[in-house]
Amino acid sequence: MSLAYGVARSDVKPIRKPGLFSRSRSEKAAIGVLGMVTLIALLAPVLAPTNPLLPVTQPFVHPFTSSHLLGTDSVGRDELSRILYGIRASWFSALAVIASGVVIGGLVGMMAGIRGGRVDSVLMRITDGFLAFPGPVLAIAVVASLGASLLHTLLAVAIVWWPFYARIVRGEARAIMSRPHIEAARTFGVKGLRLAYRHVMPGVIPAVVVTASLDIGNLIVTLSGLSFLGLGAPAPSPELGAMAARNLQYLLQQWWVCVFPAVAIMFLALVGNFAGDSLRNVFDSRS
Amino acid sequence: MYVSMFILKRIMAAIAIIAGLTLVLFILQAVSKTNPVHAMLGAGATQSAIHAEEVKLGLNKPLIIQYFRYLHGIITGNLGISYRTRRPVASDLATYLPATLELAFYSLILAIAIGTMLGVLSAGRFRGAGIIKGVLVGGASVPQFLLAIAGLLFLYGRFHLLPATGRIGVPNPPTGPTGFYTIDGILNGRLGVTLDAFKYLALPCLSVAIGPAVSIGRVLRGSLLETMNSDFIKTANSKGLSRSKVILLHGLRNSIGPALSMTGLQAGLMFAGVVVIEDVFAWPGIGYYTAQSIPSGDFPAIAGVTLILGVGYVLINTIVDIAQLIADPRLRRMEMGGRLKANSRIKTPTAVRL
Amino acid sequence: MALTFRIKKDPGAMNNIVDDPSPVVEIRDLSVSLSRGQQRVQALKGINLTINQGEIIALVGESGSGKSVLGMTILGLLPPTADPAVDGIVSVLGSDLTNISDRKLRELRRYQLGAVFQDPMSSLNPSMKVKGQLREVFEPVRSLVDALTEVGITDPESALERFPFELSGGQRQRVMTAMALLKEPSVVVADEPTTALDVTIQAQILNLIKELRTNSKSAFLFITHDLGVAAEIADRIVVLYNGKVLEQGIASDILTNPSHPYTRHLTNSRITMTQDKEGMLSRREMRVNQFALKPEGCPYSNGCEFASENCANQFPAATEVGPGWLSYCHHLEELKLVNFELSNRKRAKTPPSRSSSEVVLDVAGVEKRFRIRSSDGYRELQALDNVDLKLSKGEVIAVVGESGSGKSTLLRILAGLETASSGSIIRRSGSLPKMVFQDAGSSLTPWMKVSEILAESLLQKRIPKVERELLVSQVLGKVGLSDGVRDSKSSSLSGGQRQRVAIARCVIDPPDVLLCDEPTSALDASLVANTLDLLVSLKDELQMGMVFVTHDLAVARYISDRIMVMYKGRVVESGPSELICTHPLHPYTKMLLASLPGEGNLVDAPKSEVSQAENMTGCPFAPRCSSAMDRCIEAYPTSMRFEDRRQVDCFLVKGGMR
Repeated sequence: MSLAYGVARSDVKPIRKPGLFSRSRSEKAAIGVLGMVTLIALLAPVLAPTNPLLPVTQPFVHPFTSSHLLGTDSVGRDELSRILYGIRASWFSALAVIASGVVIGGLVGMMAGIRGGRVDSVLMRITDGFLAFPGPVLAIAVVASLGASLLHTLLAVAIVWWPFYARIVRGEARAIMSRPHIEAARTFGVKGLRLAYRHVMPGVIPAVVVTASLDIGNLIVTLSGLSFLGLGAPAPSPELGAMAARNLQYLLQQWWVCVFPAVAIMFLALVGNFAGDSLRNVFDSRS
Repeated sequence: MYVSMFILKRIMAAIAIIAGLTLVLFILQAVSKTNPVHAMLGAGATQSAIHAEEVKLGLNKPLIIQYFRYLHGIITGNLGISYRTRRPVASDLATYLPATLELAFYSLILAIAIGTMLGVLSAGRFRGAGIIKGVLVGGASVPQFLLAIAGLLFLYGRFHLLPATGRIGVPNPPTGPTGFYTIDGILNGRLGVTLDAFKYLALPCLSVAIGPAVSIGRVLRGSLLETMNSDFIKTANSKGLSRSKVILLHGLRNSIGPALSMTGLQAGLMFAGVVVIEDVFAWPGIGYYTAQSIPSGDFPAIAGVTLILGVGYVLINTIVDIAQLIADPRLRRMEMGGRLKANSRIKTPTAVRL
Repeated sequence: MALTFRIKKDPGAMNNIVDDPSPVVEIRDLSVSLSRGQQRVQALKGINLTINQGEIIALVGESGSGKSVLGMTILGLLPPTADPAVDGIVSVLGSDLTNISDRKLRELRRYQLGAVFQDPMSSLNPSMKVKGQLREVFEPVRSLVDALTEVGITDPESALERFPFELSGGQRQRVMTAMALLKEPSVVVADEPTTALDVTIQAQILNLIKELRTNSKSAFLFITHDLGVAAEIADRIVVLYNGKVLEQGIASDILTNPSHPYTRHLTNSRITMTQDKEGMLSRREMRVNQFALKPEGCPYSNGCEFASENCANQFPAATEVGPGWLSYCHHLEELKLVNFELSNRKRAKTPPSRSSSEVVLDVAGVEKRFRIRSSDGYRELQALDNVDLKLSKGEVIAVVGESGSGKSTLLRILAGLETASSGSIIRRSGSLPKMVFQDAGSSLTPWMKVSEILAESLLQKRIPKVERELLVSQVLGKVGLSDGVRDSKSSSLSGGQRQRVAIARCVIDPPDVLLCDEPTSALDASLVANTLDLLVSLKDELQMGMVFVTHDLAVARYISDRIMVMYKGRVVESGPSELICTHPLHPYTKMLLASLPGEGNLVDAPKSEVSQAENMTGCPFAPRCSSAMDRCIEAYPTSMRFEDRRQVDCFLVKGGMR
């Protein structure tokens, strides 16, 4: 069968544009730093020179000495080991809360965004209700009620954290649902899960990835603030926020016991923000 | 017509959310590890005393009744008795609140000022805009207590420029009428008090304000950049308007919406940040009160603080929503055939918290 | 075939060129490069152009030709985010914009330069009243009310107090025009100022611009992709392709006797009211990639049927074809021997009859009401009012109307995307019709592969995978795409390829009825021709009925057997295409025909805005109708029916059956 259509077959190669999942340099950098910190967190037990919970020498050894790079604290525990373990705790806590937020918020948001109408307004009312709660303050109340432990803190934060993701996912899904390709797909009989999975979700992912990585910084800072107030793991365990808080009294004489944990928090948050920012630039320039 | 409907709806929503907050607090109270009776009477109380206390607190009634008792208490200003101070939580809060309000008020002003500056400057195209952009990325990563620590180390520890802790150094500060030392000083004709109060405010304010300032700055930068790329900016430029007119009258005016929502969000969250900062600077506000209450598991106190901060947060955001409606002619004049819905207000910024 | 353009200019306007040849803009060897994403794009290459006082230059080119970049360069408004690098001289009234202080440039813009952009909605500050925006230009020289009156706004006092979103599209563009033109600048850059408007409004705005410029000495750089618009308004035409000027000269010369192969291609691709309906639109095979194009070669050599190796290696020097008429082609001598109006290629397969009597779609009395929110609660909007439509197998019905006519709503109801409020729709086969969307590119899910998109339409049929793959290959061949695109994501395809994929998606499982929603309105002229040819041959081959929604009567006339003219939800006239176009009966149809640019009728269009008042009880067109009577306001006329299933709803039309 051959028909003359006025134009010869266009054997032109498709124009090469960066595909949605091909990696650019800044994207690689973002993924690289995130991976590196995760690796440090994973390997903390190997990297730490001593046991973080036990005193190994006399208190307040100055930092940058040959035996203890970051010095020792008020009872003679190695600061570097404690910070490495603290990084491990903070980093995985943040990732856990984000994962829960992405999953719960993602489901709620997708449902609301795709179904629209009454489902949307009911789900979003609920979400808005949670959003309207002052998150960190509520977390304080939750921990005060259930008792101080890292798990309770994470639980409390997770409860107030998912609505942000529900909002973002819902917004993106809604925007995609109003794009012509959804209407087109519908006229070809596409609906239900297939519509959600193939026609909507891939478009939502970039925004979620960017938000999630920017959120690492927020969470690290928020969690450290709560831990600073004593709303984290109880006393001997190495937590960056609590380490800074408990050593505040030594600030003017033995500054390092207080400043290094705080700087570590800043480093982690910076990594998250840097990665998020570069990922956002990547996705922005593609759309 | 439309505007008043919108305002009414927003107020109803605010009331619903506050009701929800009380419910959450009540449930937390109910599942709390600390038994209020034990906390009140101590470990050595007799069985009959415990029973009497339970009846007094209504703990023998069904949960639903207990909830309405709790609601009734809140409305009549009874927030329970603090386990730690053994005083009514309401009167404790009344003592500590002015200090927090003063700190939050000045921090907010500082945050808006710094945020606007950072946002406008970083959106500009000049040498050094990159540095400000860096500040915006970095600033969001700095925990507030690190700022406070750094401030203490240098401005107090090294140079002794500013006081470290407390709210005022002058003896016998005035006690009214506003509870803000900076204002009461002027009202009572004691300028020394005002000046001293500002000295004490400087470090805590700065520590509280930087985070929100960076958030506001980032949102403003984003929306300003988007606006400056739009067609009507081209039109404004083609009219030969001066650069500052283009940015201020055409650019900023149309970018302020998201920054305004962010300010509302941050104003609410600022109370939370205040808790940490008050702890560091021993600032006698409700944050300090909370920080003291946490180790002793003083739930009524914490619930009271949560409620007060929650109400403040909801109120501020309601006001911001209404302000946006009034500021945006597209939302105000609904003659477009209803294409803009009430909740299509400028997208809620989500990037930065605490 | 007759001349492509019928140009009737009002006397006096033509003389501007000869009268006063002093140049206001002189561009020498201008090259501009911009960064797009990670790459740098050479948007303009070695442009030479002079704009003389008072003349209108139409800058014509397809998308991506760099015409807007040139306009923005003259305004000094290249977006700083694109990091533009400008090389050469752009002299406006003696000052070189490539080397000018910020302050001087602003002064120049304030007094000597005017700008009108494409989308008047986004070009006006949304949060500032019209008053404030005008005041930035005029105060205190001129009364703002006078200014708005001069651009034909009928109620200037109230317009001043409004925000842009409270004005109609036409009014917004009038406000833009006032801001740009009434300060009597030396040069006005108008970047597609009428593209976003309805044809009748376009006609008004074009007439307004013509009138205003006779009173001032402003020169115009009028950027357009529409040769018809250029024919209406231009003294001279400059043809741009891929950042290069290929031909420039007096408008009438270029339009009637283009010398450059690209200009010929452009004029040939245009669909006019005299188009031979049996002939194909694209008159030649596209030739692709014959020679390796060097950066200094002629950019058109890739698609040019006359191209030689020399073309790809070196851009030709200017040849003076006539007075003030320059053409840039190596093969001009040879081209002179070739007839400009290349013979039409006939369709490969002439259908036995363009339509049969078997009805595939029968729509009767369809109404659609929307509830919309207004300033005082809700009110009802009648989007469709008593619409009938009967489509036979192999027949094409074109639905014509302006925005707000309800034509898209009708199509969405036919496609099953909306449900009618009342009325009946009977489809011969139970299945829903397929639809080609206005913007083919965005109707394809960007992250999905072509093969997946195509196969998806077959999912419900439970066809085995192997067979599906086979069908995909077949349909790709049918729409003229190579099998190689099947693994590409639609976002990496070119505009023309996407259009073909969108069509392939509809015909992989051939429907009884194909719905087309302005499938060509976002395309360049040459792609329009190809797309329409493809649609017609597919329709003939697969014997589909087709409902084709368009705002362009010329396209409607070419593609359809019957035309339905809609206005505010009603079908005001319908009948055989040729008859409707040659002997329109309804005043609205007449108005649409008179508004077509490049057909020589435009002089009659009004210059002031016409009332947009709503007439709820009677004929909705009455407020705009020049021959409206009292009874038109009071009642809607009953349909008059004539032979050939022709129907007109107008009190003025007599002699038919009720």
